[in-house]
Amino acid sequence: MSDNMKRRDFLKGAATGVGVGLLGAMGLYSYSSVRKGHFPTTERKMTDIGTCRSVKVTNITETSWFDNGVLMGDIKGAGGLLVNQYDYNWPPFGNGKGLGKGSYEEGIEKIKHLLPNRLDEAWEIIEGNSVHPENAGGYAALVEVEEMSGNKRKFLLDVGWSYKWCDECFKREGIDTMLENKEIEALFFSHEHFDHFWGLPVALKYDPDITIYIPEGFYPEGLQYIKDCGHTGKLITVKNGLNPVIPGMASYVFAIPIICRVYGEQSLYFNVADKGLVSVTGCCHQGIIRFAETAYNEIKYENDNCHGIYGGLHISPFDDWDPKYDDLVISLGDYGFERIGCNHCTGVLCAKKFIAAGYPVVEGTAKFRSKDKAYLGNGDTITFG
Amino acid sequence: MVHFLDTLLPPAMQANPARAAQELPRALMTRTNFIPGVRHRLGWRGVRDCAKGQGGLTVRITGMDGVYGLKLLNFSETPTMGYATFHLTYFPTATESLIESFSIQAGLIAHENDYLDRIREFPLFPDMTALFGVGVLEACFHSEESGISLTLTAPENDIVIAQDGVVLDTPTGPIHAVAPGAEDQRLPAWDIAIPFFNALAASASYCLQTAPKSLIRQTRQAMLRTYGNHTSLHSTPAPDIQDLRLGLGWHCPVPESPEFDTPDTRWTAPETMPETFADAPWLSSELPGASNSLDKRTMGITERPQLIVLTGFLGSGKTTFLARFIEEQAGKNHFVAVIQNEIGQKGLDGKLLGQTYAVTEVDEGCVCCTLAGSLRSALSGILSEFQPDFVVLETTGLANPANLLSELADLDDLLNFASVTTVLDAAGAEHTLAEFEVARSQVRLADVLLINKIDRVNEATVAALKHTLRALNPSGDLHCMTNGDIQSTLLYGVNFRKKLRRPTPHIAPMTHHATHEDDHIHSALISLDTPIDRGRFERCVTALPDQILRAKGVVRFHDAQEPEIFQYVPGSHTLIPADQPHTDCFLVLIGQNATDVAKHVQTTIIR
Repeated sequence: MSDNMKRRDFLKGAATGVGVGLLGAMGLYSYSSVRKGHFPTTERKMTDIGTCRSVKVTNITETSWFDNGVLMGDIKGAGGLLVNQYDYNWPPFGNGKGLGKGSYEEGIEKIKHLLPNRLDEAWEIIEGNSVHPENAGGYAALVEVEEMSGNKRKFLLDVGWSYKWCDECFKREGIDTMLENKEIEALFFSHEHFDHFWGLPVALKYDPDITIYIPEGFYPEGLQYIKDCGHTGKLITVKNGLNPVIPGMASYVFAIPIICRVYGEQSLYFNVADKGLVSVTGCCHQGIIRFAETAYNEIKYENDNCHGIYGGLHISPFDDWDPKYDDLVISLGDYGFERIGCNHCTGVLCAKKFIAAGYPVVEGTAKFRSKDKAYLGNGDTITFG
Repeated sequence: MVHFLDTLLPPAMQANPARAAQELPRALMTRTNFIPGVRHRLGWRGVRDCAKGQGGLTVRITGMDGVYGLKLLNFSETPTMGYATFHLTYFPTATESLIESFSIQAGLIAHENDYLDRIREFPLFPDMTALFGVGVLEACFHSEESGISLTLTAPENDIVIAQDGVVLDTPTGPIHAVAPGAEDQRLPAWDIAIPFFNALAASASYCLQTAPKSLIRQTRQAMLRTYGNHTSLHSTPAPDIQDLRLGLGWHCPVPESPEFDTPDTRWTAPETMPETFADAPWLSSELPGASNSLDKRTMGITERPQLIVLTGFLGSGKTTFLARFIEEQAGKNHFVAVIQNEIGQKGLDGKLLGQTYAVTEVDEGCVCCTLAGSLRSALSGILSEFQPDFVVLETTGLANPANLLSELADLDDLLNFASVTTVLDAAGAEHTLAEFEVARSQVRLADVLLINKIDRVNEATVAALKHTLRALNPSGDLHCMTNGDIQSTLLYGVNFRKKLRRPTPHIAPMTHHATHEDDHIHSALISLDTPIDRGRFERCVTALPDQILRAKGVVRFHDAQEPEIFQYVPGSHTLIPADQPHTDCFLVLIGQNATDVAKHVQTTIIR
C-alpha cells in the first residue's frame, strides 16, 4: 500500500464512503480463467405439464413417530445417522437381537409369509422382535386431482410405517375401501425412509396390484421389500428430474443424500388453472428453496404464480454458519405462496414462525394424536384451486 | 465391492460414473454433517446448499473465519470412470487479515453490505466469485474398482499485477491503492485451500471406513497475471512460484495430470507415508474410539454437555421457554436433558412438557436448599444413559442461583457451565423484584435476562423494567420475547461460542444468600381424591389472596370425563384438558402463608 495504511482500514473507508468511484480497476473482473469458462445464463426450461382444476390433499397420517426423544435415542444408540435404516432393528424388521443389530434379511424372514394379508399376525411377531414398535407411526397422504374435465383422480403419497397405526389411519380416512375399489390409481413414494415406506403391506393388503412410483436411488433392500410385501403391479423407477404424470401433475426426483443411508426424494408439482403452482412434498429433504427454485426453472405454470404448498418443509439441519438469517422463514416469503399447509417435518417452531411472519398458513385441528394446530394434522385436508 | 461406497451413494448412482463423480463432494459433506460430533471432529463448521441458480455449496471450516464456496465446473466420463472438476473459492470476512492479500476489488466487495447475502448464493454472482478463487478440486469415481479419488490444485501464491496501478476515489480524495506495476494481489491460495481439502478427505476416510491407499503430489511453474487500463489480462511465467497438485485415492489410483511435472511424491499403501503427511487428518478412517457411533465418549470426543441453569420467578414462563428450546435443539439433532425440581412435593412441569426427553426430577423440595449430592447423582444417571448436548437445570422459581454455584463448580468434570438464564414476567416482575430478595438475586447472577410476555404490557412498562434490571445487573445480556420464543443462537451464539458475562461459578458463596425461606415462602399440597365442583373451584381460585404466588395441579371436575391441568399466577389462571392419564389429582399452592390458605381452599372446594 502506497499510503502506508492497512488495506482493511482503507477499504472500509472507501467502501462505506459517499460517492465512491472505482477509477483504475477496469478489466479486473477478467482476472480468473474461470471467467472464461462457461457461465451460461440460466434459462428457464418451463416445461408445459398441462393444467388441472384443483388439488385436494388429505393428511392420512403425519405422525411419523410419536416421540422425538425415543427416535433420537434409538438412532444414537444404534450408531448414528449414517447407519443403514434396515440395521436399526426397528419394526417391521426386528430380529430380536436388539438396537443396531438388525438386518433386512433376518427381519423379513420372520414375517414374509404373512404379507400382505395377515398383518395382525405379522405385527404381533414384529412387536416381539423390534425396538420401540410403539413409537412407529407413519407419513401418508391422499392426493386428489380434479382434471379440467371435472374427472377426479386419486393418488397415494407414501404409506406410513407401523402396520397397526397405518391400517387404523387408512380405515379412518376410507383409504382401505378406495384401494379395494381401485379408485386410487398409483402410489408415489417420496423416499425410502422407514416412516414413509415400511407400511407398504397395509396398502397392498387392499390393492396388491397398485402401480408404484419410486425415486431413483432405492437400495437393494428397499427394492426387495416391495417384492416381499406381495406387490403384483407395475413398479416404475423415476429418474432424477421432471416426470410428467397426468395433465397438470408431475413428479420431480431430487438426487440428495438423506440420513439413515437413504438417497433421493420425489416430490409432486401441480399446475392449477388460474391459480398457479402447487407443491406437495413428503419431507422435502432437498429444502424448500431448492424445491421452489426447481419449479421456477423447470415448469411452466399459470400466471407464473406460486399458489400453494403442502407437506414437510424440511430445514437443512446444519445451516449453522450464519445465525442472522432464518433462511426458510425469510426466503419462503420471496415466493409469495398463497396457501401453506405444513406437517411434522416442518418443525412446529418453524410453522409457528410462518404464522408469526403473517404467511397464509392453513392450520389444523390437532386431532388423532397430531400434536399441534400449527400443522395440518392427521385427518386434516387442504384444497388448492 | 460395490458395498464399499454404498453408504455414500446408492447403487443406481454408482452405475453412472459421471453423476457419481459430480455428487461425491456433496455426498461426503452431507453425510458427515448429519452428525454434530463427527462433523466437528472432521473440521466442518457448517455446510449450506446454494439453492438458486446452478447450485453450489457454501462451507465453513474450523480455524478459518471466511466461507468456502464449491461449484461444479465441468465433468466427463469414460466407460469405467467419472470425472468432475469444481471451482473452490474462499470468501474472507471483511475484518480477516487475509483480506490484505486479495485484490483491491475483492476487498471492496467484502465491505459491501450485501456481501454475506451474495456469498450465500455465490453461483449467481460469477464476477464476484472470480475474484475469490483459490483452487480447483477434482473428484474421480472409478466404477470398476469402486474407488474414488480427490485432488486439489492451487498456486502457492496467486499474484496479479496492476500495470497502471489502482486509484480509488474516496471521500477524502483519490488514493493510489496500488502503485503502477505493483502487485494488486498476492494470495497464499494453497494455504487457504488446504484446510477445506483436508476436511473433505478426512470425511471420505470416515464415510468409506478406510484411509486413502494412494497419494501423488505434482508441481509446475506458476503464472502471474497482469492487467492494465488499456491492455487485457495476460499471463506470464512466474519464476519463483509453483502450482501444487495433491491427490488421494481410496481403492483406486489418483489420475496424474499431464499439465504437471512427474510426481515428486508418489505413495501407495502399505509403504510408509512420507513424513510431510504424517499428521494428515485423512490418514485415519476412524475417529478415536468406536468409529461409527454417536456416543461421544467412545468416539473420544470429550466435550462435556453445556449446562444452562434456567431460573426465574414463579410463573415467569420458564417451562414455555424450555419447551421451545428443546424443540429448536431437536431440530438440529441436539439432545437436551432436563433436570428439574419442584418445590412442593409434586412435580408437574415434566409432565407438561409432553416429551419423554431425559427429564429427571431431583429430590422433593427446592433445589437451592436440598440439593446436596442429589444433583450429581441425577446427572450421573442421565449421562450414563444418554449423551446429551445440553443439560438444562430448571430450578424452581424460588431458587437462588447463588446457592447453586459452588455445587455446580464441583460438577465441572461432568458439565461445561454455560449460562445462568433468568426469565422474567414483563407484567409481574417489578412487583416481584420489589418484594422478594430471591427474585433480585436471580437477576443479579444472570448472564442472560429474558423479559417474557412483552405482548401483555406497554412499552413504558418494558422500559421501566429494563431500567430496574440494569440497576441490579449492568452486564447481563437482555432480551425481550413473547411466549418464550427466542432463537438460542441469539442468546448463546452459534454452538454456544458467545462469550457471556457472568460471575464465575468457581467462586463459592462467602456469605449467606437469600432463600425463599427468608422470604417466608412455603408450599402446601392438597390431595383431591374425588371430583369437585367447577363453579366452586373457579370462585375459590379467583379469590386467592395476594400472598399466593403460584398454584398448579391436576384437577378432576364433576362435569368432565378427563382431568384438567390447572395453572395459576396472580391475576390469571388456566384449565386445559390433560393430554395423558393422571391417576392422582392434587393442588399445590406456593406463597407466603401457603399452609393456612391451603386449609381454607380445601374446605371450600371439598365439601
